[in-house]
Amino acid sequence: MSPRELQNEIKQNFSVDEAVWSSYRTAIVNNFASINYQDLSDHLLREFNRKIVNLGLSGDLMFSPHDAGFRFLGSVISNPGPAAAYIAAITSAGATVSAPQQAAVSTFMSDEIAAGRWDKMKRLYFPLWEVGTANAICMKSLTSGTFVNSVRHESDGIDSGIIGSGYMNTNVSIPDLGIANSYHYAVLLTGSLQDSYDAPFGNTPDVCVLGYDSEYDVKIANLQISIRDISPDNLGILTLGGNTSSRYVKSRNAARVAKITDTSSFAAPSYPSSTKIYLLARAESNGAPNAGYNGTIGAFSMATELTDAEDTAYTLSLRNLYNRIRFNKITGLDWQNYADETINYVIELNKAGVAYA
Amino acid sequence: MSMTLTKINALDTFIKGEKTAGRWDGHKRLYFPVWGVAAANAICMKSLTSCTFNGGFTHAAGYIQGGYNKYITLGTALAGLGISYNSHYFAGLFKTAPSDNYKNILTADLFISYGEESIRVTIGGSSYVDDNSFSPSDVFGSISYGSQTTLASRYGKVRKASGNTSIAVQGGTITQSSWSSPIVLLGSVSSSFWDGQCGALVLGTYISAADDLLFTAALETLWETTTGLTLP
Repeated sequence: MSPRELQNEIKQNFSVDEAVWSSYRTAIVNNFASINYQDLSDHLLREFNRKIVNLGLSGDLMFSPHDAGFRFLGSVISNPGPAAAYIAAITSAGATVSAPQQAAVSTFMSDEIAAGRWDKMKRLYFPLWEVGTANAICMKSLTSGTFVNSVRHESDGIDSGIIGSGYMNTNVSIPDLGIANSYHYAVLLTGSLQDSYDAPFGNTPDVCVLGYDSEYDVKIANLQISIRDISPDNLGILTLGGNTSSRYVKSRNAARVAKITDTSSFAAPSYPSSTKIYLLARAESNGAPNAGYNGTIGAFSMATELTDAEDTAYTLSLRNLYNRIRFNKITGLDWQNYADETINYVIELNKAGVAYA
Repeated sequence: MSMTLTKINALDTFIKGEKTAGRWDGHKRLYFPVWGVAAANAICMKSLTSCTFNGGFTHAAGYIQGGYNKYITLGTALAGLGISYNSHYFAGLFKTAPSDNYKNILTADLFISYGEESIRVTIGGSSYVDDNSFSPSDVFGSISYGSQTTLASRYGKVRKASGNTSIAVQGGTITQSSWSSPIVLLGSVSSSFWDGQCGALVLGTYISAADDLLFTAALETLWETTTGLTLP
């Protein structure tokens, strides 16, 4: 089918099924990406964009950028990557997302999809956008949590200040997500935290609470782990994964990934569906949030169980996403031009006081 | 010292070059203490682990400087890094020599010191590099030593701005059963210290003499580009 023939077909199609138009879009990119763009822009792409608007379909389907007459103004047409919807959502919510940052999100998502882990993901918050409404949006579901009281939205994550009362309600419970008996939680901690029983996230005091006690040990649910390896000086990604019979706790910092403990004697508790999962707070037994965590959270995810190996690969992928975006935020440079080893070293130097000038 | 585009590009060129040359995996610890900040200087470029400065080092722009009762600990032994007596490599970049002789650059099972009139490498009680062409007052740039168990693979070298020089190495077969002593850099816990100005320290598995030439050249370029200083 020639571009003109496809244009005529599109002109006569009045379907409001977005899948139909997504299919047309894919066909256009796959078949005509290499032909004269001026002709495409003036006719086929213009007709396609006009139909999307006239039929009231999602603007994400359009070939952008375009002028007021719907002529495509870009230099390359391509199908939207898996990150397009998330980037569009956080951009609409006020976030400024540079091209390298978009590429980092897209690479992360593509890698997770290719590895088969994305389908297991239920919620993934990546609050580096410095805008509350954007930080509240889940990368996977595009649903939004709700920030309550004062939460600081910094370039490296969110925090509630010194013994603050701010937190985020994810508005979902463990039963809502179907992760009661097969679960994986990950939290990326970047900033300092106070010396107390803090919980970066939690459902009830005894279930799925990940926090630090006064001795800097890790405390997860009713499992208190006397390992000083996870200390405020050794922050990174903490994960809890497992099922009804076994579970593990792991950490990844800049230098290494390590298993803190695992256990096979874990009785699955009953999770109240009325109690929501909070970020920067835990929940009391009556479901009320108990805020007070003053560390900085750079990412938080909830999924069905990831195996030990999947966890290692996932946290590496999440670390790379975080460092690539931080590298771009700090230097303005495109991470794609640099080795990950360079990026990671520059990030660590920055945290140690070597600022970019 | 702040980070700049020039320095990031220099770091990236160095790291990509080492990876392309196949040497990166062999570098187990690579300290580049040029940042003027102790916390940053402690970070290993390769592993991103941090060493510990003991006794109050000077953290200047481009180098660190220790002295009496000052030394660096890594919290591990050579064996813990996968470095063995039949495959080891050490390199250090120094802006100045120490003020006195009998000073230690590295103490562990591989013992590297700057003797009265020599650079001395001692393994299992025997010296395998002992060259008296370098006096204690000789300000030098970088020294490196690589070895496997055979004499043919053994070398010691000094690179200065004027070029690269080989140090005579001794014969004999290296035998060592255990490499489990904690690593101490730029001194020893008990006595000997090093107060020369240091811009880089590298511990790794063996690389050939030809690779050493390329590596120390790349290290010199990185240090000079990053600091604006020049090798003596």
